[in-house]
Amino acid sequence: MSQPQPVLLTEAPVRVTGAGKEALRLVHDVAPYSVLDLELQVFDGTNVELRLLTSMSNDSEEDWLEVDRFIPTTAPGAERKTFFPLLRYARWEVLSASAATFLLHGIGSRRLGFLPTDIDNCAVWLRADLGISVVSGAVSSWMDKSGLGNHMSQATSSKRPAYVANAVGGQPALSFDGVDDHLTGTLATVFAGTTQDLTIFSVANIDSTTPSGRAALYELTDDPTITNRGPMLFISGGTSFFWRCFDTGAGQASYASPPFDSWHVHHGWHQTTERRVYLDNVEKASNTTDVSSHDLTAHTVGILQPSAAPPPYYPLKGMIAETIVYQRKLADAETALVHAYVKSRYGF
Amino acid sequence: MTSMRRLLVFREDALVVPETPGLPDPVVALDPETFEAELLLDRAVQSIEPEGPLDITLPLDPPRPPPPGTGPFRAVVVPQRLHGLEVRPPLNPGARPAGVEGVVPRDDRPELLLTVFPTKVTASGAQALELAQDVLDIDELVLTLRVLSLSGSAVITVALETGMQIESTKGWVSAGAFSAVSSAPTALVRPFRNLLRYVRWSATLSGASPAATFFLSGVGRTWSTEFAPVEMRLT
Repeated sequence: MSQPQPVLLTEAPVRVTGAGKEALRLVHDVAPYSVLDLELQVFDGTNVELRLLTSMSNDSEEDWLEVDRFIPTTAPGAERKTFFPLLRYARWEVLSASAATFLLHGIGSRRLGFLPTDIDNCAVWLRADLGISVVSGAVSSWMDKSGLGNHMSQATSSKRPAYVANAVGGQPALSFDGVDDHLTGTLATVFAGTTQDLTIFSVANIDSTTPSGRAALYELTDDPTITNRGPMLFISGGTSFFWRCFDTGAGQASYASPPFDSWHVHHGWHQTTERRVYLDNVEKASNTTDVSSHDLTAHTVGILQPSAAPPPYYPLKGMIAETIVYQRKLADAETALVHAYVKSRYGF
Repeated sequence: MTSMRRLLVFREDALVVPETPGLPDPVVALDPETFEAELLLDRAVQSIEPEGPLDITLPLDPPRPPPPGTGPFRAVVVPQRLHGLEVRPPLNPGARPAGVEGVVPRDDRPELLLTVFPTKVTASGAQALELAQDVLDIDELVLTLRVLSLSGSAVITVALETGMQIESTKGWVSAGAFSAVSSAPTALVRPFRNLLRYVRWSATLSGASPAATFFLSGVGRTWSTEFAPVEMRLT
């Protein structure tokens, strides 16, 4: 069982006339597998949306939890997706209301490689192939996979970033329009304390035509109506990259000539007395000014101050594939693990 | 299943079949070189033929009374992937089964029970050390937290702690936590990895006169060997 095994969630194409779940008598025992790599083939139907559910019990309709869902797919089409974590049983559920014919099968593996959550204090983990809800090609919500429930969403359809299936290394990303696209969310648990050690990673590709050379990758704040309230990764003036934490600039680390139109890992760590910013794990700048921190309650990708009066501040034109936040300063060895994971996954 | 219950088991992932009637054909095709070396370390195994089928000679296990009139006997190891059955896991998954174990079909696999019922807490605290689960053989736990009821304005955060011993609370560290739950019923799922030998739950309660009832169960998986996954209930 240590080798990957074929898993047939449907043994033959299944025809459905609307939304519904796989019958309980047909659910699959996935106890041997940590992860399922599944392919959804759609032979008939439009915007067929399907998700995988998991449970510890196969004799009740209660307590089935969503593992993840496929991007809506139109026939003839196919989508591949990785599903984890898995409890003992798994079953599919069709969410779309119209008729469809599909096949669902793939590989079950016993071992899952390194995950950002393997390192302690992972507080946010947003990856573009996990926990994404797509409506009309745009991302309406992005589920945090850290386990802490720090999800993001965008209620206004015109402000939703586009979903790009093959953006980098065959992996998807969210594409922001440089106008007002962004996702934001309230932290499920406040990042509390007067010392706020943090490490933040953003796997991103910033477009050189981003308006005014201003682009925000990620922001933590306690007040989304004003700026400079929490840690931020952003570009300003088209000439400098900033890692600003808890103040207006005295405590920021920044460097000139940031790269555009290519994929990179932007990351920074912050402690009360020091902070540093890195590009692809190469230190670019540091700052040792003491800054006072405070509780943080919300976070955003693609823009700063999402609740401020228009115009939008620092709207990103570009793509984000992954964002990871740790509530502490990572050791160098841990940072190296994250970078190795990113390189392996995205191939840059 | 009557005949199956006569089988002897010395590891969770393999059957030891005394004598050799009706053995599945694939057994003779097994390559001893690729057979789990760790299996051979069991004290019940005295020798193994380096070539050919996996016939092994078992001495009688000292705690077991020897069958009358028999000495060392022949047996064959059948890995789990061939026999297709699940073996009842030991109550403590870190310990080796001591003797004869029953064999149950996959669909009748028992759950690992330490306490049977959902747990009610009225104050922050952790599971008693004597109820901690031994997860020595487990690389990954995927647990589901079901908060069945919350009183008043209670908010509960359930975390998993892991440690190397169960004699004291010293040295126990967090293995991760579920997100805070402020309404019931709520169900969450998340994986826990990089575990030490034992795990136990820890609950943090806030709010006025808080009380919460929750249930914690899941699947323990092993990557490095062919141990069967086990179901776990931590509450």
